[in-house]
This record gives sequence, C-alpha cells and structure tokens, in this order.
Amino acid sequence: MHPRETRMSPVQLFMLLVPGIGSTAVLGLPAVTAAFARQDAWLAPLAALPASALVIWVCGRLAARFPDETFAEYAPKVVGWLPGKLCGLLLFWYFFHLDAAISREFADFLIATAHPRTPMALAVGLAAFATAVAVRHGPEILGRLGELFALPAVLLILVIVGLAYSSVDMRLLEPVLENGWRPVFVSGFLTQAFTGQFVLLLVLLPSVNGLQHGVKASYLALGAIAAALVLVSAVTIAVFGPLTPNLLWPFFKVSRVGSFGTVLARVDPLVTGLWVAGSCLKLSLHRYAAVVTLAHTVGVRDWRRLVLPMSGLVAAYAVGHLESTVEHGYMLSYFWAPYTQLFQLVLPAVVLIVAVLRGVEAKRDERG
Amino acid sequence: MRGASHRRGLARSVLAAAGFVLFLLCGGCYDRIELNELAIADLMAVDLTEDGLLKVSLQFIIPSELTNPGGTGAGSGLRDPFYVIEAVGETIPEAFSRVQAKLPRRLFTSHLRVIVIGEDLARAGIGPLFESLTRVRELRISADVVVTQGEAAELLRAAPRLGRLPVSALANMLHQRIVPVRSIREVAIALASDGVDPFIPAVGLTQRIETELEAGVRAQEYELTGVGIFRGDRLVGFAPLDVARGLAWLVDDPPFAVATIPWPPEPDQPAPPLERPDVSPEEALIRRDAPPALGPARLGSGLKEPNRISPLVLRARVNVQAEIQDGRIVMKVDARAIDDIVTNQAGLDLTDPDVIPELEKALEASVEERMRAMLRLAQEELEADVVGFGAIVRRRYPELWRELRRDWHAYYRDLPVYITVDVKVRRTGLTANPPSYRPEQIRK
Repeated sequence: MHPRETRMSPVQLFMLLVPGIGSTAVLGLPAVTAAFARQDAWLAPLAALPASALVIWVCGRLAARFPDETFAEYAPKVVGWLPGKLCGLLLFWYFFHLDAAISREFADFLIATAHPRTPMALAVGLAAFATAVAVRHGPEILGRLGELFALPAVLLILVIVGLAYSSVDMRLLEPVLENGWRPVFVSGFLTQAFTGQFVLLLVLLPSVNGLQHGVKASYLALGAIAAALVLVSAVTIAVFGPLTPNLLWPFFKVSRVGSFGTVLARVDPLVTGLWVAGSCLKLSLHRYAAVVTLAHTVGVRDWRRLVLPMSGLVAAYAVGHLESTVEHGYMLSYFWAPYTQLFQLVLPAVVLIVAVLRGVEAKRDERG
Repeated sequence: MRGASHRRGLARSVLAAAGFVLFLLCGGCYDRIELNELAIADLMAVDLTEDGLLKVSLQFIIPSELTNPGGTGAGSGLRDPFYVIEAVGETIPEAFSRVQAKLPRRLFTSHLRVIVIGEDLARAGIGPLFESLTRVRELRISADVVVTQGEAAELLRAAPRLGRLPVSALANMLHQRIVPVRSIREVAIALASDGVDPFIPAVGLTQRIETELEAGVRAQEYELTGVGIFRGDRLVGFAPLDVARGLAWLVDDPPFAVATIPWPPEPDQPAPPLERPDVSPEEALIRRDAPPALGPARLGSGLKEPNRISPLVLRARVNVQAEIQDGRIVMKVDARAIDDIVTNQAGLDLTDPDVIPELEKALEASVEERMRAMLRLAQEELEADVVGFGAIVRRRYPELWRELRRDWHAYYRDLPVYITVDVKVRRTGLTANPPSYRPEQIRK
C-alpha cells in the first residue's frame, strides 16, 4: 500500500504535527535551553522559527515537484541512482535514530517519575508494540489519533500553567538579555533540533489532500508549537528561576507545584499520561516515516511488512545505544542539534537545489 | 462463506474484549504501590548530630486510627493517629533507608507536607540538604520548610488539639499569612540565585492551658516564633515575630496582622499625667483601681498603655525598586496598604474626616518602622540580603551588578533604603466612635 492510497486532511495534519512534534519538547526542552540562555530561554523557540520555517518551505518545494512521491522515491531521479539511494538511507537512518531516541526519552521519563523498578526493555517494548499496531494502519489512522489527542494535550498544558499561576514570579524572567543575544541563538539552535522535525513532511505530504493546504497547515503547526514552547519555557523559568537548567523534566515539576486550593492539585499523573500519549504519537509518526523511507529506498512493495521488525530494531537500539540519562542529556546538549541539522535541513535542501538546477520534476502524466 | 467470516469476526471481538478485561485486571502489575503496604510519612525533621551526621525523624500517619472519633488526648482512650521513627545517616536517603529498617511497610515520602530543619543543621549549612530534597523522586518540591530554635525533632512530640494530624495543624498555621511561607522550591531558588539570601519561618512549641481531662499530659502546640535568617546557606540569626512582619512587608507578602500605634503619635505631645512621686504605692493602687471620675478622664487608665489604636491590614502591595542617585545605588520601597481600624481605645474621634489623614500618617510611620527594624537586623547585624536587594539591582542594572556581585554583602551593609508608605484607612470596623465612651471622653 502506497502512502498516497490513504489520505488525511490538512486539519488532521495540523493536529497530528502539533502533539507529534511538540509533545516531547514541552517537557524537557526548557532545561536544555536554560542551560545556555538562563532566564532568556523562552526566547529560544522564537530564534528557531526562521530555520524551522525553512525546513517546511524546502519540504513544500520538493513536494510541489513530486506531489505523489516520498523522498526516497524521487531522490534517485534527482541526484542519480546510487547517491539517491544513499540519500534515502540517510533519511531512513535519521528517522530510525530519532525514533530510538524518543523511545529512550519516553522510557527514561516513565521510569524516573513513575515506575523506578520497571526494566527499560519492558517500557520501550510495550510502547514499540503499541505504536507498531497504529503504524500498520497507515497515515490516515495516525491523522485520526492526532485529532483525538491534540485538543486534550493543549488543554492540559493550559491547565498546568493555570494551576501554577500562584507560584509564578515574573521577576525571575529579568533581566532580559543579560548576556546578549548569543546564548539565545545557541538555545535557538538546540530548539531547532525539535522544531526541525518538520522534515517528516517529506514522507507525510504525499498523503495529504491538497498540497498547498498541507504546507499551510504545517506553518500553522510550527507557529502553534513555537507558541506553546514559549509559554511553557516562560512559565517554567518564572516558577523555577535558576533551578531550571538542572531539572531533568522541568515542566513536570511545574505540574507538581501547581494547585487550585485543595480541590485540584497534583496533576502530575496527568502529565505522565500526556507524555505517554504524546510520545507514542511521535514514536508512531517517526516509525512510519522510517519504514516508508526504507521500503521505498530498497524497493519493498508493501511497507507494512517492515513495521513489526523495524519496531523490534528500534526498541533494541533504544535500550542499547545509551548508558544513562547523563549520556542522553549530554547528547541532546552538545551533539544532537548539529547532527540532526544534517538530515533536517542540509539533506533535503541539497536535493532541492539539485532538482532546481537540473530541472527535474515529476512527469505531467504522473501527476494525479 | 459469509457465515464463517461472521463467526470469525465474532470470535475476534470476543477475544479482544476478553483481552481488554484482562488488561484492566492487571492495572499496575509492575511497580504497583498498594495503600495498605505503605508507611506514609507526613512530617520530617532533620537535625545535625554531634558527630556531624544527619538525624532524620519521620512522623507517620496511622490511617486506621484516623477514622476513630474523639480527641487525641488522654482520657479518650485512643492512641494518636501518628508515630515517629528516627534514624541517623550521612545523607537523607541513607537515613531513609535506615528508617526503612525500622518499618514494617514501605517508606513513602510523597506526602511530606512540612520539612523541619534543626538549628544546628541550619547553622552548619542547608545547601546539601536541599540537594537531596530536590533530587529524590518521591518528595514534593512544594512542601513547606521551617526551622526551629534548638532541636527539630522536638517539634514532632507535639500533638496539637485542632486537626487529627499535627502536620495539618502546622501547615495550616504557616498559611495564616503571619510571615511568608517558604517551600522547598522557594528556598532552593534563593540558594541558587544571585543576590538573594534565604529566610525560613521559625516554629517552636508552646504550652496550652491544661484542661481537666488533660491534666498531667504534655500539652503542646506549635507556635510561629519568627523567621530564621540565612547568609548563603547558613543560618546566622532569628528575627522575632514583630521584626519578621517587617520582612513580610519588604517581600510583598504583607502580614494579616495588627500593628498597634500609640495615640497621639508624637512622643513630645503631653503624655497622660504620671503618678505624683509623693503618692505612696498603696495609694497608687487604690487610685488605679478606682473607677474613673465623671468628666474628661481617660478610660482604662489602669492599663499600661491605654492610648492605643490598632489597625488591621486589609490589602497591601509593596514594590521595591533599585535606583541610582548621585552615582550610587539606593533602594526605594513603596508600600501601599488599605486598613481597617479594629480598636480605638485611645478614644480618637473617628467621625471627623480631618482626623483620618493624621491617623494614616501615624500608621504609615509604624509600618515604616517595622520595615526599618527588619532592615537594621538584616543589614547591620546579620549582613544577610533576605529581601533580595541584590537580585533587584541585577534585574535593573545587569552591567553594574557584574561589578558589585563579588563583594555585594559589604556594599549591602551600607545600602541606603528609602521607604515611602501610603496607608488608607477605609473603614473603622463596626462602630464609629467608641460606643462605650461618653462624649466628653472622646479625643478631639
């Protein structure tokens, strides 16, 4: 089954991308950005906006040239057979690695906050299996899952912010730009590793009804995610001030601080729930992208056969590729951002430039 | 054909439903925590032992005793719904593990609502303690923190009468807005911030009056005694309650409290006539107890200070700003309050609109004096920047702060603080002039 055979609407794409990209960033990112920009970390998502918009633009231009194909299908036509296949493999590796990293982060959070004695293989494995089931049903089902989940996720964030209101001290956000713009841009670069995940569009856009509306929905999703990240970062810093960079999941701690009298307090299990649901959505999105990209690179007709084995591989890699949360945190801060830029921006941009220079696009009669 | 597939479909749904039910049954198989397998701690005291170790005392809830009706004191025939276990360790988690060795159930610290820090530990430094308090997974970062004068574990002996659990009595008392409450989070922020020294409310024990039933029982209640002042992470002194209220004003958490003023406010006004020196002590006593004569004589002249007016702060807002004047930094404190008058035993004529501004002026002076008393203690005696003047300077003048931060405490010592207070008396309780005074006893 080819991605173009099942469809989702631009609205579904929007509701899929917002939690599918934003969910993991909301919880952990403020700590990473605050390590560099301190109380200015809430500006980091704004600094990341232009580069992330560029990612969407590149994906959109490529999709305009090849409206019915995924990256792995048209890359060989653009840059030649062998380099094209290599590009496909590189993109596959990116999705695979990211999927494993998300699994790892998901399990780390679950274990650190709720189930300290649960073996990681169990947490990762269960998530891998559950998401594999979702992925096998194709992009349409993912879109519907997004629809189901986006609104509660946004509401929960607002509830947490509202509950934490009494602990918010806006003075902790001052002085603004104490050390100039430089740390903000460094943090923006780190944020770009998350917001640049819009490179998913290389795989998703062929499944969306109406290319232009799909791209527009993606820009809107980027705006929504950036707004959510600014809000979450600002609130986190206003609650925890100089403690923020050293908290592993600062927004989770924010949810523990908040209360509405004695009526409503300790909503942190809900955050864990949000995290589980959001991570699973994100996991399935990237699993789907990885599987489809690999299938189209090596020429497997039915990508769905690859889902279960791929899930097993992702789970195994997730458990094995890092020793501890320390390595994970270090990787996120110092390695992840430049590394992911290669796949999120450089790879598609190079293919686009070559396509423009050589004037390659899908033949008219192939357009449907 | 169709029937077969239908049957297969049915079988699949039944299987799926069965699987779903099975999932429901194993809710939390892994890492499950059953309520009746937990020892729930709600109050913790940490002390420093003589050989420099941490002594952790934990008060546990006994849920089955909680449901018993009646009081907790002697004579009710019931046991307290709590008990205390302590253990010594080099770190908090190590002490926890030693407490666990004395418990039949799993130690559960998620419900700790108040952490009590002993004076010795506070004087030795609380930085390492707060490292553990913020790292341990189960602990809630929103738990309140208090210090004691003397040993913290003493506080766990009290069984206050109001409330089934001592911890709710303690926590609810802290939240009466007498001095600002501090949570683990707020203290940790103060420790990690540039230009702020922490303060933590100080709590002690007080005796309650024994009733018939309680005779012979240790009858102790919690009492808020002021605020412990820190420099860096080390306790350097205590501010008594009256002074601590000045701190409450300075950190914009004005106390729900009464600050009585004398009337007339100026000391050079003619004070009530003193006893003539030639009056013998016996005669003075007779005069004191004699009823006031008719005429303008003051009421209550046997009181030590009969000429008093007590306001109640209804709402208040305090803004602290740093400014540069003549090349040096000064702090400007601007306080605004709306007051109610709850006692006018001085007999001031409160029906006269012209009197109110004078009264407001006197109230403003008293609020300023409260803050000044706190600043004298913090700036001159203890050199601890508990208000966070340094952080305020940093926010307003980041470049200047980079030069100052190195020896901020020396600078802070002589930092000029200008205080302006604006008090509005908006109402006078339920009465106008003192109803129990005769017209000629009203002070015009």
